[in-house]
Amino acid sequence: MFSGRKILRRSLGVLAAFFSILVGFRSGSVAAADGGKEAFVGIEERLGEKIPMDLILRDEKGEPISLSSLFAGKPVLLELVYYECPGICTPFLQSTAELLEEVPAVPGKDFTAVAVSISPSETAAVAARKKREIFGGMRRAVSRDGWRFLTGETEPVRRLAEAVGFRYRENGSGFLHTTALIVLSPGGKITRYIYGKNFLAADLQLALVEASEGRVGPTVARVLRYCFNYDPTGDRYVLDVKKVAGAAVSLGGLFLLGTLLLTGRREEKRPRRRQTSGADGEIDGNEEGREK
Amino acid sequence: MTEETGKSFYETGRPGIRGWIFSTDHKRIGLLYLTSMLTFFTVGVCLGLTMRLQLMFPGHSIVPAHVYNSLYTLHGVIMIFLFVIPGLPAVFGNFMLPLMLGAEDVAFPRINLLSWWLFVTGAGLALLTIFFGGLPDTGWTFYAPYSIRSGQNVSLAVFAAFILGFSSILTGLNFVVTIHRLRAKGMGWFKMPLFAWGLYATGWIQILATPVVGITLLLILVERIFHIGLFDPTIGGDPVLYQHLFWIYSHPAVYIMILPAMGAISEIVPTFSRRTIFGYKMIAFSSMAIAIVGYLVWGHHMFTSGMSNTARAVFSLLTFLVAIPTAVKVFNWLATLYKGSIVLQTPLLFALSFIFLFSIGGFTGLIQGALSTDIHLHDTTFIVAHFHYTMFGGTGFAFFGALHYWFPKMFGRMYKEKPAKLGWLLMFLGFNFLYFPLFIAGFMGQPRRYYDYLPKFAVPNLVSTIGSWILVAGLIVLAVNLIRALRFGEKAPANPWKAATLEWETSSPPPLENFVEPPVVTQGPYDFVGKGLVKG
Repeated sequence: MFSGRKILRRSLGVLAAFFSILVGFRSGSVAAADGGKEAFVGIEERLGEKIPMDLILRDEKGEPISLSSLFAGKPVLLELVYYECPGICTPFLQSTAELLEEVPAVPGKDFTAVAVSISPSETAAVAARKKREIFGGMRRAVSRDGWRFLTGETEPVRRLAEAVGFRYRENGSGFLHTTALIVLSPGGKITRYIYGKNFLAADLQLALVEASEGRVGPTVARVLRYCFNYDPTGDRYVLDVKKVAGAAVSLGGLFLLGTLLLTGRREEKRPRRRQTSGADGEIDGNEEGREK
Repeated sequence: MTEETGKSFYETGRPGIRGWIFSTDHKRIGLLYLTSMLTFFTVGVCLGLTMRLQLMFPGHSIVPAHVYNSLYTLHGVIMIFLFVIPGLPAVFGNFMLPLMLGAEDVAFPRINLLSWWLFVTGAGLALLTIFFGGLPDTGWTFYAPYSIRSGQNVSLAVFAAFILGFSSILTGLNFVVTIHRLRAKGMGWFKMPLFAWGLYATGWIQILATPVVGITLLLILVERIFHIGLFDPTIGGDPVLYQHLFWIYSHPAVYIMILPAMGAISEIVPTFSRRTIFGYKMIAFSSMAIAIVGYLVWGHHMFTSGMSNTARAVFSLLTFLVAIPTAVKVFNWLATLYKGSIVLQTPLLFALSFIFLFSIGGFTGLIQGALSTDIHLHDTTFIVAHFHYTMFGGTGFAFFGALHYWFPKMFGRMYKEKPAKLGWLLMFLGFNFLYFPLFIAGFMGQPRRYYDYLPKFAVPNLVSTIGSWILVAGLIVLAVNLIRALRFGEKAPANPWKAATLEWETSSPPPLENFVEPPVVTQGPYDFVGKGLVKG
């Protein structure tokens, strides 16, 4: 005869087995993506780690500027790009511009946005030109100190990219790389990565609040991204209902099958209801409507 | 309470209608389903007859076009959601599964009652559209974007289908758990009757596929009510996505319809050939194989809807694969008959016609599964003929075969053999007259779902309409014979057919708790010799 506790314990066992498979699957796939270190271009998240604050970069005038001076007790929104990028950098900077217009926190006052070029050959003049171009397209004025466009020597830029897990590769005259908004706490701790093409002001606001408190936010986007499909005509990511529904339904089905296989057949006939009614209605409770 | 022994389940339990609609006894619930489903079936038949009458001659009009649209929608919704999908599992599964397993009841008797209530609620909501906002006119598939924009009350009909889905899921869940947990002592997996195997495969499809259509129908409601662009392209939706989601459920659903039917045939064939079934394990496994492969073929409904060539080729190949386990079953049934001591009684006649008609349905399915031919046959009456051969010629005939097979057990009375055979003959002939001409008309290019057609399709349509009358005549003969038997039929013995499965070991009709003593199984389900039913 089954006791309720036994069934519960077994069900929990199945559930635990399930989630471990799930977790294994997730980390497995991430590990696979990170596997070939040489070839890997993308972001290897370093949440909770600190960046080296002593790095020296160049500001828009070509003057040296230390990383720590950019913080000044405020969180920093970091983006690694290069200004003469023919691909995603300009759209990325433009959507950052839109984001900075919309976000309630004020750049320069509540936080500092910092773009850093990963290309050592780009000069301060190139950065300044890009900054004018981007600022020229903005509807709401952002203080010039609120969003910095920096360049730097090979060595410090490499160290910065390495510290935030930003992996890129030189390819001909350009670079293979990806984009992400990286949120750093006032102390230089990496608190959140925000991925995507268009950003929500609320996401950034939340991340900045977290960062100013030094809390590290989990990246749900990466898991979520699996559930989204790129829609080339709409130029955006859309929810892939088929994947979500399929996953939910198959997991539910496997859970049911697992439970059934583990609990097995009812081992012995319980006393027939006619003799002892309702003594152990734990598997089913069908006493009513039967003998009335 | 002790005097219950020896009394059938009809004589125990609360008297009056409350003793039925609030009963958790699986046998009573099975009969509730039977009466409600036969009612809906009658309505569906009448709608079908009206459609055929409208199509008897080209140009002659009984109903206007928009009414015709509602007719075929309602005919489809009623026949599919209220008759064929619940079909054999809800009636014979409920009544027979615990008996076949040697159990007292299903695993969750109250959920079982709940699923009947959901079924009736869903059906009631669908009928309410007659009075509120007009009958749906979208076809049973509710294809978007028309189902989003139609001025008729599609919302209510869709919601009704959503509720019916839950009824189906709960029944499936109940059967799967029952089969896992409540088999009699000694009944291993491979000592289960094949009908139980059919229900087991069906149960899994119901559990895994039905939620998808539930979500989809809900999304239609969301889109209709809140105008969120999900499927309607003018507000940013994707109509092909709807088709994918719909068929991800609705193709497995056709295996919900057919697998229990095949299970019932696997009971009838050995019983009336007095021989153990040929290839028991292969039949059992082929049910599971159909259930699994059946998940992966939905795209063949959408060959003309915009899919990549690779996807179409893959779906086409997978569709062909389903034919393999199906053929395994057909060959095994035929091999069972071979050198058997065949007793040609009504249930076997239905089973044989099932094999014949379902084979035609299956082979024409392959014609549509092939890409090149399907492009031409898509949306013609060829498709209509094909799925009537599988659903009606297949599941429908199996349903009536099962009804005649288990009737003595369910009602404790014998029907008359001669009228039953006459009814079967009329039904079989009428069926072929009704649907075979539609293959020809479809091949010639007659589109389906039109209330009128070109004069060149006149002959097959006329034949088809006359066939519908013969078919209905057969149904009437069968119905009168069975209803007469309820009152005047001879008392049925426990095992009138000399069958070997467990349900025939208890009295007809069975007592409340099915068996006086819990049975212990030592032999296989079709061991006629071991049980002394046939001389070795």
